[in-house]
Amino acid sequence: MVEFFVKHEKRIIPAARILLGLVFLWSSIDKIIHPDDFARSVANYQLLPEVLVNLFAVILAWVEAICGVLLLSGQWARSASFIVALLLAVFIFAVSVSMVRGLDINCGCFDANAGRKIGLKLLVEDLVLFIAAVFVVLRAKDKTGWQAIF
Amino acid sequence: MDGIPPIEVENAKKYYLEGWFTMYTLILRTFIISFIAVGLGLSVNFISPQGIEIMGPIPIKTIEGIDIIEKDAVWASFQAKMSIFIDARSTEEFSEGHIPGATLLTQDNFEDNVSVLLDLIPLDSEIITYCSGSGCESSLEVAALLKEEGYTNISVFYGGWSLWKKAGYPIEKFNPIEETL
Repeated sequence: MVEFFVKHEKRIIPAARILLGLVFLWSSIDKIIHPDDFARSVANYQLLPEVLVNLFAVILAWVEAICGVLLLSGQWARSASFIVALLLAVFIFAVSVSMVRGLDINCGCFDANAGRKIGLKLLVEDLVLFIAAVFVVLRAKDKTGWQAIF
Repeated sequence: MDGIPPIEVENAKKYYLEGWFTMYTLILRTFIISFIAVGLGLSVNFISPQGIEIMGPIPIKTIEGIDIIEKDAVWASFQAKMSIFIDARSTEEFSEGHIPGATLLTQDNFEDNVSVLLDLIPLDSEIITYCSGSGCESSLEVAALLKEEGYTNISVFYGGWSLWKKAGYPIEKFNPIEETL
């Protein structure tokens, strides 16, 4: 397993990076277009004090967007991936806590308004993305310039 | 340091310096990216017509033609017996307690029960829908369905059941659907 990763690292890192970039950029678009819907999704988790919900929602959407663009274009990939890993850790925490509390809420992941519920499947997806992000943090380097895209 | 060749000491120094440098740049860049996100987020939110109040209350979802009603007004119409209360929560939650006189009508049983409602309640009646209160949206969704049926005077009580209970207003407990619809 480890050997496989080491052997194919040159292909796995860009693949993981582009996957993360696509997921985060895509997920940020609806949040930026509909900040009110996303703020309600954040509020549904009942983890933040109400005064912080709107601020958190507005900033989170843009953190996701910027990290998505950086990862896709390969600029500062390691740093962007570091942030993405932190975010995913927060998501995993939020979803697990909500599942334990028995909250039946929309995840607010991609389409802030539409009805994808939180659940085990979402948790597994987040975990896979988290592992990919950690892998990029550990093995990739921060690069800039055109060569970094591929 | 006697036994160690100077070149190895140099390499170790370089290695640690490099590690420190990488860690330092990683954290610095994390901050830079975050600051840019904060700046962009706040300014776009400020300019955009879709923008929300940064430190304000959580935005309430609205539908054109459906009003939002606050706790005091709800209490006033409850006392005046002017409104029909629609409870949009689950049957279990409803039977554990609800606003006295409220009718259970959820998205799931809407199709089956709406005809009874249409027979009993005129289209221009004042209707107030509510659900559990903590970020629930079923009250608005049921209100939207009622609007489609032709009701013209619908309000959503966003504070919902939790606010009603917290205010110490009277509650009613009994078992569900048949008795209300």
